[in-house]
Amino acid sequence: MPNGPILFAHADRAFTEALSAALREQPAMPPLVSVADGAAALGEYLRAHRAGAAPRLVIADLALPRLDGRATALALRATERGLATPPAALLLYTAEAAGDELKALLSRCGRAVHLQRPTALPVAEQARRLMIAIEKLLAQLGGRA
Amino acid sequence: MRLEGTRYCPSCGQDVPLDAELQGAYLLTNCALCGLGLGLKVATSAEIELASRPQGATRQARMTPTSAPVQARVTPDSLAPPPATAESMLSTQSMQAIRTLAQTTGQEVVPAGTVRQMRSVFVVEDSAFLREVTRNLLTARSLAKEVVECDDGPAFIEAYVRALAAGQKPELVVLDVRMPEMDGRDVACAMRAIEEAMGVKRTPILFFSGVLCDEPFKATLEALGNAKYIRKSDGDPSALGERIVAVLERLVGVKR
Repeated sequence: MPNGPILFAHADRAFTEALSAALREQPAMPPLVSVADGAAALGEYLRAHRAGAAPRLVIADLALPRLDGRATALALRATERGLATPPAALLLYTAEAAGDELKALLSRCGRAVHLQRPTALPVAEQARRLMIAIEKLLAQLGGRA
Repeated sequence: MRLEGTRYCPSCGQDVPLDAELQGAYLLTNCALCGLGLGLKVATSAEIELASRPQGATRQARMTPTSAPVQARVTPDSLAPPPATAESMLSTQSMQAIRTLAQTTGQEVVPAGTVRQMRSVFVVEDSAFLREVTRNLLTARSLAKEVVECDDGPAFIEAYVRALAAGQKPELVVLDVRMPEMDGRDVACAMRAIEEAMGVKRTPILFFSGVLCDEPFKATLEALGNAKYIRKSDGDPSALGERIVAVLERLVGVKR
């Protein structure tokens, strides 16, 4: 079971900052490492793995620049297989509802869930809800520090 | 032997014009509408019937390959004996260009006319036929000692990460663009991110694809670095080789 930080890949800087602030208020939460595109997420995953602390949870939007969330998820799983390391939990956090394509991606990735972003809510509330979802997910995974 | 007619394109879902070059036991072409590679393997036992009119402009040919029938017209000025082997689909110049790409981007100084065998080359291509052709191309002429074949992007990334972790970095990656799981450009982008994170030099990438190299694609090549492009089956293999060498001369200073 990976024991490293939460890796958060999202292009919306304001939302990333709001989530980071929400997580800082929670005791014993793993640190949040944020990146703004899919390629950076893949690179950050590898750097963390090489440092002996592979991310325990990877959260990715689908609409990422450079390498979109779908390609990032597939590349992440392929990288983990190449490293012979257990897969990190993967949370796809998207503005869209889960259609057939997304369900197929979740199935293909394994150890992956989807959460729809409530875009109509204020950013701070979106971040708070995502933080709660992260807490629940980490508790289920036994990954809460 | 040049063939004209129609061929079913699975991407377009319809019969599309076929204009292909028959090379030995192989027929290599792209969809005229979407550019998808429609390489066909023609069984050597295929029956070919010719009805010709001497001195005339048209000869009729009917071929019966193993998968789908092709109605073909053979133009009279293209009846030179085809090359006998698969690797001859690309000219000697093409293969030298591939070799030179790896040598040049690997920042090695290679005296003109010398040949160095690449230790390991990855071929990422969803078409089993084209993987076979590329492997034959690389091995039959001793261009590569080892060819690792991957049938999609994730399979390649897995194998590539494993190779890097084992200190066995390949010297060249031949990469298709249109593949079912991951687009080749995404695969290349992931590859560069992996290399940077693992602290290794960029492996040269040779996109071998039926996709047109338009301006966005050129920008992608530029952003990737150490990446070149060859279009699959552009007719005359000799012309293809000439174009490859010309591109390499312009972009990386390769001299024949």
